[in-house]
Amino acid sequence: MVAAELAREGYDVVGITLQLYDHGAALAKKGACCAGRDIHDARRVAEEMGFPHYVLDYENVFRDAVMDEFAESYLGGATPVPCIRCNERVKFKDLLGTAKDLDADCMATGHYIQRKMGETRAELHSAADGNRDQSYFLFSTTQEQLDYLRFPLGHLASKADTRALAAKHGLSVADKPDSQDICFVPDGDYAKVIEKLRPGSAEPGEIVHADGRVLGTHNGVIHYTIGQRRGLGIGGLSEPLYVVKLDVEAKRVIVGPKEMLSTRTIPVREINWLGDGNFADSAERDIMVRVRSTRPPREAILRPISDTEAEVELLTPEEGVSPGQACVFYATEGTRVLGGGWIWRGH
Amino acid sequence: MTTVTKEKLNSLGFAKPPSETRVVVAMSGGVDFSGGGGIGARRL
Repeated sequence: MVAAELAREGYDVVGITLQLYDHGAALAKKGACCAGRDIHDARRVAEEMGFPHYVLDYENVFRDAVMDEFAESYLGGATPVPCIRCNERVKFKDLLGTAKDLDADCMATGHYIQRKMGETRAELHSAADGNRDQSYFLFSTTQEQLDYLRFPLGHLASKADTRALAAKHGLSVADKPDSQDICFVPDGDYAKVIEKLRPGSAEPGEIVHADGRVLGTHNGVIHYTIGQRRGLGIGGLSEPLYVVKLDVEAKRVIVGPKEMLSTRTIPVREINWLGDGNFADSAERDIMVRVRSTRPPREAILRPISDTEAEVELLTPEEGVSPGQACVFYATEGTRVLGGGWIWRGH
Repeated sequence: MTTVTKEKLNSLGFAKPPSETRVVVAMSGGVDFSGGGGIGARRL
């Protein structure tokens, strides 16, 4: 869509599609980005609009930079977000480098996010359509990358507008489903993917109440997540219990009452700061944060520890904050994205 | 120092015609190149 519109405007467009993972699985995965069917369709769009299109084999890069870390993080009891790592380590790194090698003035993507020129430099802003906003997945975009990137769809009020635009161009993709899923998880069964990537890694252990009582057994920590209530296999108890911790070393799933999920202070590392000034120069900042892609921003205080680490204090506690997720920073007013970092267990 | 006025910039922000502006577009076959909705990758 972006490519077609830019070609229509007369730009010197070069289309690139990345083949990121197993082509056989890709063909079966309808609706995920960079699937085999999508490669075919992208090529067809390029032919229709008359610009060159290349398919680059990034399977090894993707496996090393995204899938392996996904597996390790998952096995470590965290809740990884591989789409962020893919943007950070593949699309906005290697692909962006390829664009520069092709002497392109910039690289454009169809992400729903906005790049706006501030007083001194380009700024990252949430998409105009809040329902489509992808800022959570792009917090790690560096200033240098942002200077080179363009997001022509970020200002559209809705995806319906995008599809209408595609239809206007007569593009055959106008009625395709949204890309919603993690591309290498064909059926949403993450544990099955982990077992395939790391055979034999799912080891049985105990389900233990936070007060120490052993309530049952499990077939592997990878089958559980922080905040999970259903499917624990420990029915018949008087109070509803939730997974509150995954103790990977002891192979234990720790469960407890809902209030144990409540978190006020979040340790964050690998921070990418897109706000004004040096990150660590202010002792604290009033910001808004999102700790999961599906949750709205919440008021918080950001306290830098170093240039790359911080403590985030939520003014209202959140439930189910999980290591491995991103904590994305927003300005208290307006749409500006100030960067973010990765939630971890802390020192 | 040359000052480039906003009026002279093309839609991608360059002070030259589109035909002289090369842009690499990351394409999927879908309407966009969104990289997946990507909820937290653990069973929820």
